[in-house]
Amino acid sequence: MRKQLLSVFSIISVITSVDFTGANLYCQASERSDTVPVFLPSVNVVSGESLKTLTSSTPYQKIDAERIKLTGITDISDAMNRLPGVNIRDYGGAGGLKTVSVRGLGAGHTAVVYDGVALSDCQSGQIDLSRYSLDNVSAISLYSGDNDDIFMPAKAAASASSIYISSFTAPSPADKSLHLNARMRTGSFGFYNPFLRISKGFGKYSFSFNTEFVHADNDYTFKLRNGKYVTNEKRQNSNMNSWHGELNYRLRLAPASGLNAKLYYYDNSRRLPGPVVYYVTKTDERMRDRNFFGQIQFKGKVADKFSILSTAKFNWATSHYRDFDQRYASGVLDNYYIQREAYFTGALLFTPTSNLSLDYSADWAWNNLSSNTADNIRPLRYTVLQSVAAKYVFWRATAMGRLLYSLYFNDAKDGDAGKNQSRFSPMVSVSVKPFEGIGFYVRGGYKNIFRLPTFNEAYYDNYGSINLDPETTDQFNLGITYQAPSVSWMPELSITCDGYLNHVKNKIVAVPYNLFLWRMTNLGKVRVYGVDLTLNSTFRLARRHALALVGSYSFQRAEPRTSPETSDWMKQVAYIPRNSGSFSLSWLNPWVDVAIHSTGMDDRYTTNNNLPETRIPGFFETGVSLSRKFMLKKSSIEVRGDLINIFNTQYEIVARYPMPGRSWKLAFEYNL
Amino acid sequence: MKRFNYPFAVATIALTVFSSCEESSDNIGSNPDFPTVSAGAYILNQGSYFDNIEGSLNVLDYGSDNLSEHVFKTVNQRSIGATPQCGVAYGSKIYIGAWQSKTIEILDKHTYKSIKQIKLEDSDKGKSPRGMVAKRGYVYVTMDEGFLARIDTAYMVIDGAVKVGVNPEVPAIMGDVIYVPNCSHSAGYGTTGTAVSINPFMELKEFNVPINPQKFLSNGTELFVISAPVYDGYNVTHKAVLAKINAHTEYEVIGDATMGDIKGNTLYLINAPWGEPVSYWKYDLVTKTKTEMKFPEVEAPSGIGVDPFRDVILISSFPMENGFASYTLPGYVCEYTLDGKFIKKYDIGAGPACIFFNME
Repeated sequence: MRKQLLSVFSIISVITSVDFTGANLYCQASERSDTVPVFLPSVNVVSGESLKTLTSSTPYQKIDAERIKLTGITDISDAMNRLPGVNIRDYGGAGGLKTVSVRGLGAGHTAVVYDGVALSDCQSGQIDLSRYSLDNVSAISLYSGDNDDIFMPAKAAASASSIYISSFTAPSPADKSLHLNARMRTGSFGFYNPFLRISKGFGKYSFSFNTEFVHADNDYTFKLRNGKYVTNEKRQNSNMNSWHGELNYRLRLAPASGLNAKLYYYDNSRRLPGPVVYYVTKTDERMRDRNFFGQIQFKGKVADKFSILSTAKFNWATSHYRDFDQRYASGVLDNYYIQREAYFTGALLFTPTSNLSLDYSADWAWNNLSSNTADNIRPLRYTVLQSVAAKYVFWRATAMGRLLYSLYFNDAKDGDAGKNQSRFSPMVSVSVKPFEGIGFYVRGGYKNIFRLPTFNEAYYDNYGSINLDPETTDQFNLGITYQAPSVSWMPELSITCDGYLNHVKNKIVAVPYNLFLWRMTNLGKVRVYGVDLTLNSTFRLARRHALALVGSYSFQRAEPRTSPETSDWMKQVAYIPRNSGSFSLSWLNPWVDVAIHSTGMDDRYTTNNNLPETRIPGFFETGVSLSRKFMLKKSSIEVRGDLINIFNTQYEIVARYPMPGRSWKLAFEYNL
Repeated sequence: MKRFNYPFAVATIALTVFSSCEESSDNIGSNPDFPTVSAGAYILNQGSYFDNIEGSLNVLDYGSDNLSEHVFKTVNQRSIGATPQCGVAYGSKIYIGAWQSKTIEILDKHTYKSIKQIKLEDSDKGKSPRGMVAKRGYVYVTMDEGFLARIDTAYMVIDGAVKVGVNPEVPAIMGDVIYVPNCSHSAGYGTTGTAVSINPFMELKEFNVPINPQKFLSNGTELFVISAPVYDGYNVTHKAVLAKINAHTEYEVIGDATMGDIKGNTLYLINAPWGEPVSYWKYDLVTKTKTEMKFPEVEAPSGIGVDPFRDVILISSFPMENGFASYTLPGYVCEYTLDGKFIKKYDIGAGPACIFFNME
């Protein structure tokens, strides 16, 4: 059985996984555009997707489901920490808010694309990644800059960086077997998480349904330092119950055309422990988040050289916050927000020759926000995005360019609206393989983009400003990828190195106008530069024994450069570490696969002034993952155990929000 | 948004005449209700808790002309609590309320050692201190939860509370009555004050004040209130005012002010509204005349205290950064004579907000 598993691994690690890729196989497949998939019949894998890591003209990293298992990734936050240049704001615990920024630009500049459609939160501009369970994730991809693929919605190009989350959707309609994936995960701090996915094809169409429930008490202990005193405390008021379900439908219309549809619902009732406050243990803040969306997407060839991608989506999200406290006249602060979005996109791909692709994409979106608060002016926004893009493959090079035109119309039913905006945003990139037969690639690119003020920034009571301008970014990137030739003892070794320079102008910041009033304003300039490094390697130790070493390192300097007269001039932007990194070492063997992994970062500051007392110490968190798969006749059972933060490191990512110490998770999975 | 605080109406302590000290009073040889000298001042910094900048107690000693920072933490080796909001020195002790930590620290006035920490988290008499005054052996604390609580200074316990309006702020004592401004920011801003008698400790009545009242001021014979501005988006719907309370039933607006203090028959006032230059003025209660003052060393005033016994005005300030006040950079306190002559500037921690005096 283990032999079989290792055989499977050896195929998977050499072929399907980006990080365990045998690049020599792909070299034979040629550096063709990923918009023109190439199928390797023997393994039925889209080689272009994997090749993309090597040849992409923009920095691209991917973690797929296999890598998630093999490198001992425990949750979505952990997955993000394995990606270079990513900073995650993690408020701790299973239900804690987790938002992501890339290369020092802030979470508002990072798009999160779920199954091909960008998620939106017009209120805060940030996507909470804690909503997405790794159990149903087939891959997470990071594009630092633009997407190397031109055939996509314009909205996916309208951010400085993007994170693509791909879920296990409906299987191929040709696969008429019933697939069942049942998993039970439990762990420290009252955590349990049953998960079920069922899928089946019916020849022309297929369905999948998945659902999960998460309960966590999140009552982990932590050490509280108060001067010379250190006490053991426990997080209070932090339990959560969340439910999430998805129904996917896939219809095959022609060999190269298909329709995908998805219904999604998420419901999370949680208590908010809030920050740790000296001498106080009790809070009674509660939050219920609900999100429903339905989307339908058509993708296919409509003529010899024309393909169409079209998507329609409706999104509804509510957030109900209550703070039970006698400080409020009614005994409770009860705020209820509803966001709605209607979104349509169409993209036309024209491939006049085998090495030239042209794309035109147009998006239309409507967003609104209403609430029960006093400042409910019911703002809404119409968005029209148009993108023209070209990708040309010549010699051993790929060049692409995009021009995005954005139109934003702001309105408010019961008040003054923010300014309308329109502008062009260009992007160019190129990837070159200078030497024939050597897996060495050089890439460079430039992207200009902006983000609009969120509804909170524009309209929040006594805080927002309708006069805000967009926050603009200019991004430059220069990078290399080297892939060593595959040899028997080292099937894979690839290294990427990217240097970048970002300029942020008109940064939106909150400033106090007087003792009573804060306002959002365009004030800051920031320059960010840094280096991202990744290493992916596999070593065959002996028959049925392999080591996989995966690592990433980022150096980031994010310097406020608003004025030399200010105290934060050329210091480090709050919460951005200068050095961060991760590694995992996995040993695959006939008995129990073992992965040791660690992520960490150095000191950060809570303010741009970098005052000594605002320093948050750096940390390294280390974990161990053990897993074994038992093959049955037509099914398999997998058992996985995780020891997280084995050295019980006490650390914070956000000030006053301690992260959990040592903990464990145990998962049983049945696959049919 | 951080709610602001004012210094306290300590002048009323000095100017109010009492027949006797009650048994429970905190005697140190002299009657704390009849101080005769001032030895210095205390300045509370609120800090910026979620930026890891702790609040602190700072002591200005007139004798050495020196300001000592972080006095509480230096002596007690622990934090004074999140967002120190209010304080009063009374008898042999200092009382400091931390709004976010829901505590009242009672310190020895000479050693600054904590004698007792009253945790208010489970209190049914209010949890979050906003303002303090003291008289007749008791310290009175307004609590954000709508109470005026009473601390017995001899036993150092909260022995009673009177329900007042919503979100009360900084009170003042005139005669045997405590006047509490009911800010009511959580319910659309209030327009009332509550009068509470000291003995018996009970509510006397509610009366009208200008909207969003923040602080009462009294010299023992007259009562004034400062109300903060009310905003609707960018627009000021009600500007900040100083008003005189007449017969506890009606008020007379005197001028524009966002903060101030009183000494004898003079009110010292600051008006720092949004979008306009900061102005300073004083008001003579006898002649009813306003006189402009200038304190050019102050950039973004955050508090004012006028020493009841010395020729000293203290004005705390945020530093300016990029044209805006910084709530995270260290602030400062400027010392002036009553005529507005600059004496000295003291550097101090982030968010200086509350000034009260060391009287004996």
